[in-house]
Amino acid sequence: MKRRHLIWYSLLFAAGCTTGVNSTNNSSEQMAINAPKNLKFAVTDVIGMEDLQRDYGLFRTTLEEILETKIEFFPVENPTAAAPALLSREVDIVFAGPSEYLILNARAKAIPIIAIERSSYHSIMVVRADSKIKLLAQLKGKTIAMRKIGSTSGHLAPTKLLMDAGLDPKTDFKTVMLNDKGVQALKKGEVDAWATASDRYKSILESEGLLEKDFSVIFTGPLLPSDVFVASNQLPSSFIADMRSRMIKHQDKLVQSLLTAKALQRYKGSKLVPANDADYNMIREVYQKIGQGNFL
Amino acid sequence: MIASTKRYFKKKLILLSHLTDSWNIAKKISYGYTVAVSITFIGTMSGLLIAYRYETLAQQQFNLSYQQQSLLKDLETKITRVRLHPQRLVTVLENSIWLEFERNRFLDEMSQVNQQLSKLETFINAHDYDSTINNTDLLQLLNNYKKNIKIYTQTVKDFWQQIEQNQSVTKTDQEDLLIFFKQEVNLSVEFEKLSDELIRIIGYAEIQEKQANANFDNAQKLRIQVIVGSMLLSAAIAAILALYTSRLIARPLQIVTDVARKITQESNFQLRVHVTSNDEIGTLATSLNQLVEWVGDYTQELKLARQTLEQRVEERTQELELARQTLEQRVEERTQELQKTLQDLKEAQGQLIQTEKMSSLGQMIAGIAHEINNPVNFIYGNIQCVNDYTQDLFNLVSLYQQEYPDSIFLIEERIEEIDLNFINKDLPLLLSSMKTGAERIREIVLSLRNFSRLDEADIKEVDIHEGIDNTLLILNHRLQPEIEVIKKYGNLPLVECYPAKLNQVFMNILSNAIDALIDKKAHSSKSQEIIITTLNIDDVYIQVGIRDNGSGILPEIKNRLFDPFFTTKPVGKGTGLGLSVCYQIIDKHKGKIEVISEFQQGTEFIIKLPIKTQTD
Repeated sequence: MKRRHLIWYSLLFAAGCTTGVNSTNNSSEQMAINAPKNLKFAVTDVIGMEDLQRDYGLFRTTLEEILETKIEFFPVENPTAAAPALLSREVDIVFAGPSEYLILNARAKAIPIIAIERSSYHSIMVVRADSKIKLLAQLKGKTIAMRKIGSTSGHLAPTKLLMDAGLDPKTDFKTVMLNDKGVQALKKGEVDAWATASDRYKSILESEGLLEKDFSVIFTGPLLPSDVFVASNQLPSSFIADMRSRMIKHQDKLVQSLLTAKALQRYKGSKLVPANDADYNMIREVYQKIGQGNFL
Repeated sequence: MIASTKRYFKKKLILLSHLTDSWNIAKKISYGYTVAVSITFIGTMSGLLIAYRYETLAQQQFNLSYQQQSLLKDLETKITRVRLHPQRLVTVLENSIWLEFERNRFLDEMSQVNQQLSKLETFINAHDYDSTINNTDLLQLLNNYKKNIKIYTQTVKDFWQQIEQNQSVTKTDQEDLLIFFKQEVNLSVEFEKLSDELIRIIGYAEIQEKQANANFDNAQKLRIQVIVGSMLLSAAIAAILALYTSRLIARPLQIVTDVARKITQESNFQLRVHVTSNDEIGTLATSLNQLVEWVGDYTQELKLARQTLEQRVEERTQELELARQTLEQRVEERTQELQKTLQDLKEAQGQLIQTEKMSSLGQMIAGIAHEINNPVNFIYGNIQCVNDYTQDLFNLVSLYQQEYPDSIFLIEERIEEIDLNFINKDLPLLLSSMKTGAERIREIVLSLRNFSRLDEADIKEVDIHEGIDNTLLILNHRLQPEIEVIKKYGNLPLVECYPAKLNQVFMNILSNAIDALIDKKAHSSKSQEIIITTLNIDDVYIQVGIRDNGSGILPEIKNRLFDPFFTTKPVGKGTGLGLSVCYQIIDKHKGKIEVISEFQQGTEFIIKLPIKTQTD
C-alpha cells in the first residue's frame, strides 16, 4: 500500500475514533475571567449625557486608546446616584470627588485607581462685596447657598468650616442646594453667603457673567483631597493594576484631554498619582462631625 | 421467502465477487476498511447528531426553565429589596446625604425592578408557545406586579415630598411616617400574595428543570449507545473483512506457491498456475507462468549452449595442441637455425684463420719468388752464352790439332790427363742439364707467383687446367716416384672464378690425396695413382674430379668431413680446416663439392662449378 494511502486511512480512522470523544469536554474552559470588553464610565458631578459628552468626550476617547478598551458613558442624576449604579454593576469606573468617593467606598466597596491632584482645591465662603458679614460666625441664622448634597467643596467642607466656627448645621443656618446658580442667588440677595471651591470660583463668575469685585471671599478652607477614579470591585484586580499603570504612564495625554473642556480648567497642572484611601480620612471626619458617619 | 432472499443475497455476492475481481488487493483492502471506518464514522457522527439533537432540546428546556427561574428569583429579590426601602429610609431620615443616597438607591432598584419585569415580559413573549412556561399565569402575575409597584413608587415619592416639605418639623414627620407605614402594610399584603404566586411558578419551573436534566442524561446515554453500537458493528465488519481479505490474498497465493514449489522440485516447466482474478495475485500468477515458460526456454537454450560450448572447447583444445606442436617445431627450427649460425660462425672463424694464413703465406711466397726470379734469370740467360763460348773453344782446340798433328809431348800428356774427348762430349750435356735446372727454377717461381696471385682478388676468367698444373708443380716435392698422376683433361672453357681460392681448393684436395696415398704405401704394394678428370657437363657447369686409390673414408666420419676443425690426422699435422675452407670456397662460387668413397677402395672428390659465376 502506498504511504499516502496509509496516512489517509489512518487519519480517517483517527477521525472516526476521536469524534466520539470530542464533544463531551467543550464548555468548561470559557469561565476564566478576562478583562471586560467594554467599560461604563460615570462622572459624579456631571448631570446628564449632554454635559458628560461635552466635558469628558475627548477624555473618554483618550482613555479608550490608552486602555485599548471600549468605554461608554453612564449619565447620573446626582453625585450620589453613581453609588447604587456601581453596586448594581451598571457602571464600572467612576470619576468622583472626595466626598462621593467615601460613599462609593462605603456602600459599593469601590476600589480607588488613580487620584488627580488639584493644586488649589479649597473650599471658600463668598458674600456680596457690600455685605456686613466678614466672619463665618456671623452667618448664624443666615441662609447659605451650597452646591449639591454630598459635594465636597460645595457642601461637606463648608459645613465643616461653619461647624468649626461654632455653628450647628442643623439649627444655626439654613442650607439651600443651588448648584452653580448660588452666585446668582447671592447677587440677588436671596441668600447671604455662597460656598464654593476656590478653583471653580472664577470660571463660575465668568460663565454667569458676573464681576469679581461685587463679591468678597471671607474664608478659605484647607487644601482638599484629590478627585479620584474608582473601579467596581467586580473588575479583576490585575485589570485594575494594569489600568492604573497605563493611566500613570499616559497621564500627560489624559490631563491634556481633560483641559480641552472649559469646565475642567481646574485640572491645569494636575498630576495623576496612585490613590490612597487614607487621604480621605479628613472627609470621613467631616461626615462624622455633621452626624452622617453611620455608614462609613 | 427466506430461500428467495438467500438467493438474492447469493446473486449479489456473486455480482460483488465479479466486480471485485477487477480490483487489486490494495483497493480491496482499502475499500473494505473504508467501509468499516465509514460505518464507525457515520455511526459516531449519527450518534453524536442524534444525541446532540436531544441534548439541545433538553438543554433548551433546561435553559428556559433555568432562565425563567432565575428571572423570577431575581424579580423576587429585587422586589424584596425595594420593599425594604421604608425601613432603610427610617435610618437616614436625619442624614440628608444618606437620605439622598437611599433615594437614589430606591430609584435605581426600582428601575431595575422595572427592567426585570420588562425582561420577564419579553421572555414570556419570546416563548409564547412554549409548554414549559405557564404563560397566562405569569403574564397576569407581571401585570399585578406592575400595578402594585406603580402604587408603591407613588407612595414612596409622596412620602419623600412630605419629608422635604417638613424637613425641620420632626414631629409631624413621625405622623407622616405612621400613615406611610399603614399604606405600606396594605401594599405588603398584595406583595405577599403575588410572592406566593411567584414561588409557586418558580417551583413549577424547578420541576421543569429537573425534567430537562433527566432528558439531558437520557440523551447522553443514547449517544453512548449509538456510538458503541456503531463501533461494534464496524468492528464486526472489519473482522469479517479481515478474514475475507486474508482468504482473498492467502488462497491464490497458496495455489501459486504450491505450483512454484512443484515446478522447482520436479523441474517441470510445463506446469502452469490457474488464477483468474485480475488483482496482484492474478498478475503474480501470470508473471510466474511467463517466468516458468521463459525458464523452460532458457534451460533448453542453455543445454544447447553447453553442447556448443563443449564442442568449441574441444576444438579450441585441438587448436591449442596444434599450436603447441607448431611452436615446438618452430623452437626446433630456431634451435637448428641457431646451431647453423653457430656453425657458420665457427666456419667463418676457421676461414678467417685460413685466409689469414694463406694470405701471409702468399705474401711470403710472392716475395721469395720475386727474389729468386732475378738470379735464376742471370743463370738461365748466361747458360746459352757459356754453351756458345765453350763450343767456340772446343772448335779452336780441334783446329789446333788439325793444323799441328805433331804436338809436343807436354801437350800430349796434358790432353791425356784431362781426357779432352770426354770433356768435349760431356760439357754440352752438362750445360744442357744446367739449362734444364734453371728452366725448372723459373717454372717453380712462375708457379709460386701464379699460386699466390695476390694481385688477383677479383673474379677472373681462367683456365682451370693451368691452376691444377700449377698446384701439382707446387706439390711436386711431395709427389713421390711411386705416385702416378694421371691427367684426363677434357675441353674446358675459361671459367669465371677467384683463381687463387680455387687453386687453394685443388691444393688441399690433392694434398689430402697424397697424404692418403703415402699412408697407404705402408700397408700395400699396389700401384698408387691420382686421377684428375675434367669435363664440361653442359653450357653452365664444368666438373673436376680428383681421385685417389688410397684407404678411403669410414662411412661414420663421411658426414663430418667438411666440419671445421675435424681431422683424422695426428696432432700438429692438420688444422682440420682444409676441407671446410674448400667447401666454403666452392659454396661461394655457387658450386658443389661431393665425396664418393669406399673403404679400402679410394676416394673421389667431385667439384661442380658454374662457368659464369653470377656473384656480386
